[in-house]
Amino acid sequence: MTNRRLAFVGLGADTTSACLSMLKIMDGRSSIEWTQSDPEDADVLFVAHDGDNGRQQWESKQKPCVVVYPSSEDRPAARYTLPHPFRVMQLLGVLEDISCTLGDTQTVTAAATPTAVQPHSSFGQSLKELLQTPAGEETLYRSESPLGQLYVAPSAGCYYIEPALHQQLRSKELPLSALHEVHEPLGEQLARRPIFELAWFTAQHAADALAPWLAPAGQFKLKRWPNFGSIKNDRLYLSLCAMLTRGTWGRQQLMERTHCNAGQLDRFLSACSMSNLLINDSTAPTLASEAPQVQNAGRFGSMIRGLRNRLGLGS
Amino acid sequence: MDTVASNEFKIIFTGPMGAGKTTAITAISDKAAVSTDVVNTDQAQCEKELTTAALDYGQIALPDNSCVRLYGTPGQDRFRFMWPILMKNAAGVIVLLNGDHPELEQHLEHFVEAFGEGRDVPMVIGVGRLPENDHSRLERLAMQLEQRGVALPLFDTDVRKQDDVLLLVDALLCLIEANDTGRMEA
Repeated sequence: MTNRRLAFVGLGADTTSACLSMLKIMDGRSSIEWTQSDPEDADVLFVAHDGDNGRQQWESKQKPCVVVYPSSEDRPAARYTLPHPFRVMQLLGVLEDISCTLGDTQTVTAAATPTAVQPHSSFGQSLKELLQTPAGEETLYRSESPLGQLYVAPSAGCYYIEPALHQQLRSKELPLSALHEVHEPLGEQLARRPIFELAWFTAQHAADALAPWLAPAGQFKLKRWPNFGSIKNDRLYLSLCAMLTRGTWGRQQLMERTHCNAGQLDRFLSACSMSNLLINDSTAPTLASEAPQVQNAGRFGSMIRGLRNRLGLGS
Repeated sequence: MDTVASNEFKIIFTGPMGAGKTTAITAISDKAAVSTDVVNTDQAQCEKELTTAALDYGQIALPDNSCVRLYGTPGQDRFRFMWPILMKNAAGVIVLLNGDHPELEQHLEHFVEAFGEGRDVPMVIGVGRLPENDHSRLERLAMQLEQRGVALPLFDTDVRKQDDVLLLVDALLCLIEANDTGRMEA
């Protein structure tokens, strides 16, 4: 059994108390025993987000420092962070990361579950991690916001959300905390929705930038269409889907063909990727890469425009 | 029906009995769809009073005197001989499925294959009557298409809502446009 010491600087009594209680819960599940000590003697320091002096002092000694910040705020630029309020699994996760750095060979066992979400994640990052990892057995994850909360059940391919919050989610980015594992019954008022939809809206309402895991110079193709019966449809998106299921395209070609701007396209590609619909295949030949741009100029061009106008579908 | 004049455009609505083809055509046709409905004697397949025995027909007149013709195929397999006749010179196909039917997956296979998997003639698929809180059926159908190696638009659709029918038409037009542009470039 390895002994490690941790200390708290600038944190409220409730945060310190919660952390110590969680360490007691962890007792026996880990090969590392964590005990509280003075900051000078500690291996790891937990500091408040606004306690810059203590943080800098400790970091200068090149020892791990966990910055605890309110979950309603953006994640601070620090290697180890913990949003407050936090759950046991989040604390386990960050301590596991630190123990690896300290050279402890055996780490906290419970944090090694395949679907554990890294504690430093934003909501989008944590959802992406859950969608990428093999589904655990009926594990439930929760995210909170000032407007309400939602639950994600990856193994069931769905999420549960309060109806009012669902309306907000469809139209804008919400300040949702990172997902964390919970063991609690679901409220009866929650609506069950497909997880695809949550992934789509999360990426679509994010910033006007390509998701960090997608290469801007990539060649893209869709393996299936989004269910536009469930998400808000848009002519541009329908056109992009039609092109991307017909062949492989680069971003520049897509922008030229559809007259969309980079922000619109990147949101779309990010949403498709987050929803696991997109294939990034840089080795595939692109379609008509040198051909001149033709818009609605084929056999049916004028007929299609006329029909759209007639049905009120816009031009 | 064998030929389509240069100022005409033909869209086919197909799918099993009771999937909503007549309703969908009526939702967007200029006039009430011309139907060849008869008393349904096959209640085992679908519990509805009337069913289409030959075909449904609707049309949308465009300002330049051109016309979009909407044909609904009869759903029963014994009328399958009519499908290639109706498909000749079609610009696109809309497959409608009844999400509540126990043979939903088989229906998808059957109609997607019979109408060419969208390879030559663009195809979109609308699935109605899905349980509100069970999204697994649509997911299963999407997986089925993926395993076939085809990426077709697959939406949950309530054909009683005009917007849902318009979404299918709009997606089909985007596919026709993408194919049409590709042909021009080839």
